[in-house]
Amino acid sequence: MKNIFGKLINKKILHEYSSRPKIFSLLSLCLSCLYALAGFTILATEDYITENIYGYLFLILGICFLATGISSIKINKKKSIRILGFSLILFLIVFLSTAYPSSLSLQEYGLSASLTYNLMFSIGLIIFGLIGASLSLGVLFNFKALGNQYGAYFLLVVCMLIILYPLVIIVGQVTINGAPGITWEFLTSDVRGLGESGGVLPAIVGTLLLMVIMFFIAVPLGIGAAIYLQEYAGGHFMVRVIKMAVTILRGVPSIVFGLFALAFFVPLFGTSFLTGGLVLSFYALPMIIRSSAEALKSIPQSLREGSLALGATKWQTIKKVVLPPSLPGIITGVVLGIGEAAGETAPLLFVSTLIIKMPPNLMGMVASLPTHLFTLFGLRGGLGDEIEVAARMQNAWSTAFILLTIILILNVVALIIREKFRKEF
Amino acid sequence: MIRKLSKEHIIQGIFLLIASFSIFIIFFIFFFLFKESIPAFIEVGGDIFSADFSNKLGLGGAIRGSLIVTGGALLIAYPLGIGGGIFLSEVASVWIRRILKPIIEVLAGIPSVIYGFIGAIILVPFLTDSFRMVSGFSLLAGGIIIGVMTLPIIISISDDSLKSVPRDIKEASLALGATPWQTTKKVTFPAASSGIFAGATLGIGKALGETMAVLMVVSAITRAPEPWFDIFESGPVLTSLIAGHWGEAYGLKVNVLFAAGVFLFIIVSIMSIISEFMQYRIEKKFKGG
Repeated sequence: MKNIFGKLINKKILHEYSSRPKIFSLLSLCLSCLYALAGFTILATEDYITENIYGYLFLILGICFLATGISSIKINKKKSIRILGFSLILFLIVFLSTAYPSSLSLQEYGLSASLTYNLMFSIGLIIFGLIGASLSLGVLFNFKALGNQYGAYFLLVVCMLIILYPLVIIVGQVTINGAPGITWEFLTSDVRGLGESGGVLPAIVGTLLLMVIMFFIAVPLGIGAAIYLQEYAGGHFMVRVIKMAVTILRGVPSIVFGLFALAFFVPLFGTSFLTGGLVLSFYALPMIIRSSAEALKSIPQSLREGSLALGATKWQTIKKVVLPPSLPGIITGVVLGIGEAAGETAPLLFVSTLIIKMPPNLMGMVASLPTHLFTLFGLRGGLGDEIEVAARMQNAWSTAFILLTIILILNVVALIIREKFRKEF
Repeated sequence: MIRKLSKEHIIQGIFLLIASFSIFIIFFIFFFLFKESIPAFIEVGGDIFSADFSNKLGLGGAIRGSLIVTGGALLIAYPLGIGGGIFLSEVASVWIRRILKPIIEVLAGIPSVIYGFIGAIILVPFLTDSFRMVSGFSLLAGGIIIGVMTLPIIISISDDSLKSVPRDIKEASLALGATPWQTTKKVTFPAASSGIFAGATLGIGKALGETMAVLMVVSAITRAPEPWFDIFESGPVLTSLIAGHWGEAYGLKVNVLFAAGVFLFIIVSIMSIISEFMQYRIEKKFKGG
């Protein structure tokens, strides 16, 4: 920050060029940022302003950029023409907005929607605001490379903020709507009715049970496979085939796992927790293999060679030298992998049901938090009077809250393990 | 000595067996899916590519829907994701990176059913109002939600590819007097772009295979939108077709749903193989170069 200000009030630059482009570009920078921010707020709150105001807003911005462009012609002709072009586009938009009616129907093209000026102009505010800010940063630094850099970095920061926005919305909304519904009774009682009353205990216990099954099946298989890939076979043909298989398995859609369960496990074990657990284990397997292999890879070769040189066998080396320091990394991967699989709904779709009485039976149908949420969501439209529907919706929010909390806790645990045992070799 | 050696061999054999388990799973999945879908391919025949699911049991409409949703998702996820990746690897300071990385991980870890739930309750009404649609449950909503869900993958792949560009190339550029941004734009990004592109195929696979969110924000109707580019209408998508119609399906319909699964599996696997192959070549390039 200090750096930027230092450059701005650099006397040499001020002396070299007139200060007018600086003032104008600073003005257009502030205005553009303001516009982008306003556009975001309008879209987020759906609190649209009157349509003809947009025209004035764009007109003001256009004039600002016109002034910036004209005043900066002395500094760099080519680049200031770019700015003049930008202001021309703004004027064109103002002209178009006065010449055409307030909404553009797409029906005549066969689309079942129409574009309202409210929406288009709010998006326009954001886009032109961002581009304008980036451009005026360039003028502010006399079109030097540094100005381009700040312009680009500004857009990248905005990019990151947009990426984080859904996360804020999801966590915020789920907490606001879901947290008030969490009561002791909700956490500890059976599902009653069609989910409109009672609690979610079977779903919580079911999710934990699935995690336990995954822990006993996916974790040994995953770590074992990682050990083979990383420690035993180097550059082998078999390794390439296995690695390819892991990559393919990682990409297999969750619904395909569901179909697989339906065709393979259901005839064997019925629609049961065992089926659900096995399928989720297969789903989590490639993630665990990948992260465990990463953890093993980070152990330097010299440690292994030292151990082997002392006369230890390969297995002794793995057991005593390689595994212990890579354990934090492996555990992190296991926690994240199991967490991701436990939140998955599609593989369980064919074996789950809404109403399960406690205690859940290993050979009985699956109840889990994600499938519970999905079923409640599916029932939102009908079945029962308004009060029941509202209660079901409240329970859906609370279920989402519990599920999200579990996932967040697992993520935090993984993070703590990784940070605490972080070792640089 | 000989006994000890043979014990080592047994251990290695056990690990090999465990490691090959993934191959068995792939084989099993393909075998059982294909076995269940054979009747569909025989009896429906060429009609399987027609857009009419209700009468002819064709999957053409669903394949089209999948492509539209995936395309929309990539349009959103790519620019933002690559921008996020550049920010993380080139712009952010060490501590910002250490905060943002786990947050992106959380974004990737949120269950798809929650994305779908929020999408259906917040995004869909918003779209209904904004575009004056009859119903906001549409392919457009699906594309947006899937785009947000694909973001973390694209971000981390771009970040990894940019980070794996050898440092000396960047330093040479900086030493010549280029600003960090010029270096990123002209040197680092072009060098990493093949890696980012390889990761792109993984993103496509993930977007194609996403089920629950699509089911919840597009809904599982069987009528394909007319005309085909009407993204403001709801329509069938391969994944949501399977998930939404399994309950009421019987006889040949079940086999057709399995055939949809086979299509998905094959497309996504090809994507994975391409990305693996490209990443292998890139690794070789940087190591050799």
